Amino acid sequence: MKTPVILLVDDEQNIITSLAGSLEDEGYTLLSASDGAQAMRIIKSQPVDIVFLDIWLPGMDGMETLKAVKDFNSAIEVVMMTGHGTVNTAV
Amino acid sequence: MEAKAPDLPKQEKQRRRRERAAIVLIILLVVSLTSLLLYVTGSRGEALVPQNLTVFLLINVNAILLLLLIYLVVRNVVKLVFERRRGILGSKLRAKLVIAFVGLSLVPTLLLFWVSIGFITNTIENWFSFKVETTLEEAFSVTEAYYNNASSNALYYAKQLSRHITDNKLLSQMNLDILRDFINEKQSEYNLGVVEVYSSQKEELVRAMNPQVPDSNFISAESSLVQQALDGREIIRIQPAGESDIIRGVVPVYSSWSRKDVVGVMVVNYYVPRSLVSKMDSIARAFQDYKKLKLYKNPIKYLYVILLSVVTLLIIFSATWFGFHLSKVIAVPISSLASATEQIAQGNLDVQIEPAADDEIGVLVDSFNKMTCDLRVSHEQVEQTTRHLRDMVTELDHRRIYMETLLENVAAVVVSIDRDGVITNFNISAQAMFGLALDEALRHPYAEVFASDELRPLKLLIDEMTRFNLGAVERQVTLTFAQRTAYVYVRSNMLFDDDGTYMGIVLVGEDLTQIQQAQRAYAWREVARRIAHEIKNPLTPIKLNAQRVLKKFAPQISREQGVFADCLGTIVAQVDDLKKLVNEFSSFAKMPATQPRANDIHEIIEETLTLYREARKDISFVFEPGRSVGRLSLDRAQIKRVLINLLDNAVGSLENDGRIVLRTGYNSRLKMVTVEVADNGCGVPPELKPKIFDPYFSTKKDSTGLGLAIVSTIIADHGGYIRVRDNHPRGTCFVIELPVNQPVSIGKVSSA
Repeated sequence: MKTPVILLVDDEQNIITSLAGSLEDEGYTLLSASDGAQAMRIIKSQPVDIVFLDIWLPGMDGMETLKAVKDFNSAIEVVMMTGHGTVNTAV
Repeated sequence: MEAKAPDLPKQEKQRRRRERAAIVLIILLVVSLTSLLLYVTGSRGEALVPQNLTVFLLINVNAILLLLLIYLVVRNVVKLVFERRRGILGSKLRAKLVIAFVGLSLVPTLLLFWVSIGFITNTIENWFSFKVETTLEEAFSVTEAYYNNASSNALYYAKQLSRHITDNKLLSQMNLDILRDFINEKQSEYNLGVVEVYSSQKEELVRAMNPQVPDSNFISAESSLVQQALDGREIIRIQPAGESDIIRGVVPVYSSWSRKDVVGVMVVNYYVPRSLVSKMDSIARAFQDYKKLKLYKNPIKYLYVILLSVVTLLIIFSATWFGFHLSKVIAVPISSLASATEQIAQGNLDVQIEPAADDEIGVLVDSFNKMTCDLRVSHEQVEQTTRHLRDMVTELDHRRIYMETLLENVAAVVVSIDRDGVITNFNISAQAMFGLALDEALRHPYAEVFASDELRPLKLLIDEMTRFNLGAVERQVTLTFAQRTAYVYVRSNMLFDDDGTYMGIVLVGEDLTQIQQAQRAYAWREVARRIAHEIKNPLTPIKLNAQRVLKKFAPQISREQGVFADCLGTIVAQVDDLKKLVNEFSSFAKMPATQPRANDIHEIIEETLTLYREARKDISFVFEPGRSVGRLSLDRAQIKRVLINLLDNAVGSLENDGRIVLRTGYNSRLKMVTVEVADNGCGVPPELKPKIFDPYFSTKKDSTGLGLAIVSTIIADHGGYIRVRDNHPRGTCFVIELPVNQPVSIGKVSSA
C-alpha cells in the first residue's frame, strides 16, 4: 500500500525538520514547502494526501493557502497548525 | 394751576380769556355808573325826589355788577386756596402776591373809607343841625307876625273908622265932603296905605292914598270882597299887587239908626313893599326846602355811604384782581420754571418752557431753555461715552474671563510669576500636578511655594533663569511625590512689556506621565513581541524532538529507562511552561483591537463574579451596583479580562477573612462610569504604586507581571482611566473610569 504523502508547509525549517522526523518514524512520505506559493506548486505537480499548514506564512498566508488547496482538490486533507493556541484562529 | 401752563387745554385758555374780559368790562361799567351817579346826585342834589328812581336803579345795577366782580374774585381766591392746599407749584407765590396786593390796597382804602364816612356823616349832621332849624323857624314866624300884625291893624283901623262914620252919620250925601276930609285926615294920621269907603251900591265914595304907595300897583278891592262886607262880615285878605303885597281889612259900615243895617264898606289897605315881600318869600321857601330836605336826611347819608362803599369795593377788588393778574404774569413763568427744574432734577432733560414776554422773566426762560438744551447735549455725550466705556469694559471683562477660563481649564500646567517672584497665576492643572491648593500658591513667593523637596526642581529652574537672565528654557522635570512620580515638560519664558521691562516669568508645563507610561508600555510590547517570536519558534521543535527521542529510544534503553523518560518529560513540561509564558507575552503584545458593542457593565460584572463565587467559597464577593447607566460601548471579552485580572490580583493579595467589593457609580459631571474593585488584602506600598501598571512588574513569584499592564491597556483602549488607591481600613482599591458617550478607539491595534 502506498504510504500517504504529507506536505508540511511552514517557514520555520526547525519545525519542518522536527515534524518530518516524527512523521517519517510513523512511515509517511514527506514533502515540505516554506511558503504557500511553493506548497501550491508541489500540490499541483504531484499527488499529496495531507497538508500540514501553518497559519502564519510569509507572503500568501495559511488561510489563503488553505482556500487555494481546497479549490484545487477538495479531497486533500489539510491540518492547520499554529503557535497561537486560540480556538478562534484554529477554526 | 399754572404749573403746567403750556399744557393747558385750549378750552381752558379761552375760558380764562373770557373771564378776564368780563372782569375788565365790569370794572369799567362800575366806574362809569358810579361817576354817573355822582354827577346825578351832585348836580341835582337839591331836587332829589324826582331822581330817586334813577339813582336807586343806578345803585342797584352797580351793586349787581359789584356782586359779579366779587363772585369772580372770590372764585379765583377759592381756586387759589385749593391749589395751595393741593400744593400745586406756583400757588404759594401767587397767594403771596395776591395777599400783598390786597393788603396794600385794603389799608389805605379802608382808612380813606372810614375818614370819608365820618366826614360825610358830620357834614350832613351839621346841615340838619337844630340851630339852622330854629333860625329858619324864627325868621319865618317873624314874617308871619308882621303880616298878622298888619292884618289886625288894618282890621282895627277899619273898624274904628267905620264906627266913627256910623256915629257921625258921615255917609249921608251931605256929609260927603266931611267924610273925605276925615278919611284923608285919618289916613295921614295913622300912616295907612290906602283907605277906601264904598257905598251900599258898591260905589267907591272916598279913596285916600299914601303917597308912598305906587299908584300903578294898587288895585281896588274886588266887588266880591265888598259884597261880603255888605253881608255883614269882617274880612282880612292878603293880596299880591304886582311885586308887592296888599293887606286888606274889610269891615261893614252900619247905619246910625239901625245898627244892623249895612250902609257901606270900609277898606283899609296896608301896603307891604316889594323888597320885604321877596325877602319873606325866600325865607319861607328856604324853610320849606329845609323841611323837605330834612325828610331825605338819612337817604342822602346812606346814598353817600353806598357810593363810597362801591368805590372802595371797586378799588379793593380791582386791586385783588390786578394782584391775580400780575401774580399770574409773574408766577406762571416762574412756576413753569420751577416745575421744569423739578423735572430736570428727576432726569427728564427734554423739558422746554414756552417763551414768556420780552421782560427779564422772558430772558430767564430763554437762558433756562438754552441751559437745558446744553445740559441735554452734554448729558447725551456723557451717556454715549459711558455706554462706549461700558461696552469696552464688558468686552475686556469677557476677554479676561475667557483668558482666565482658558488658563484654568487648559490641560497644561500654567504658572506665572511677577517680577517680585510672587505667583500670580496657578491654574487647576498646576494645582493637581503640584498637589497644592490655590490659596497655598497664589500671591505667595515662588521660593516659598516650591521650597519642598518634591518641587525643588521648579525652584532651581526659576532661580537659574533669573540668575543667568535666560529668556526661555525648555526642560523635562521629574517630580517625585510620595504617591507618584510626575514627568513634566516645562517651557519657561521671561515676559517683557513693550518697553522691554521685565514683567515676570510664565511656566507652561505638560504632563508627560501618561505619555511616559504609554511609551513604556509600547516599548514593553515591542520587547514582548520579539521575545515571543524568538522564543516560541524553537520551542515547538524542542518539544517535538524531545517527544521523538522519548518515543524512538525509550524501548532501546532498558536500564535507566525511568531517568530517561523523566528527563525528557521535564524538558517537555518546561517547554510547555515556556510556551504558556510566551503565549501570555504574545497575548499582551498581540492584543487584538477592541470590538466595542453595547453592553451592560453590571451584567458583565455579575457574570464574572459568578465564576469566582463558585470557585472560591472562602472569600466573600460583594457587588454594590450604582444606578443603572444603560448600555455602554464595551468589548465584552476585554472588559471581562480586565475584571478577571483585577479579581485575580485581589484574590492573590488576600490573607484570612477575605472580602472583595465591587462598586459601580456614575459621575454625571464628567459623564464617566466608575467601577471600583476593592479588597482587604495586603495592599500596595506607596513607592510601588507608580509601577504596578508596568509590564513584567510583579510582587508575586509566579506572576508574569502582565495582568495589570493588560488591564491598563484595555482600559486605555476604551478611552478610560485606571487608578490605584488604598482601601480603608486596609487593602487596595482599583478605580476604573469609563466614558459613557465616547466612541471607543477602534484603530488601536497591537503592534505585533
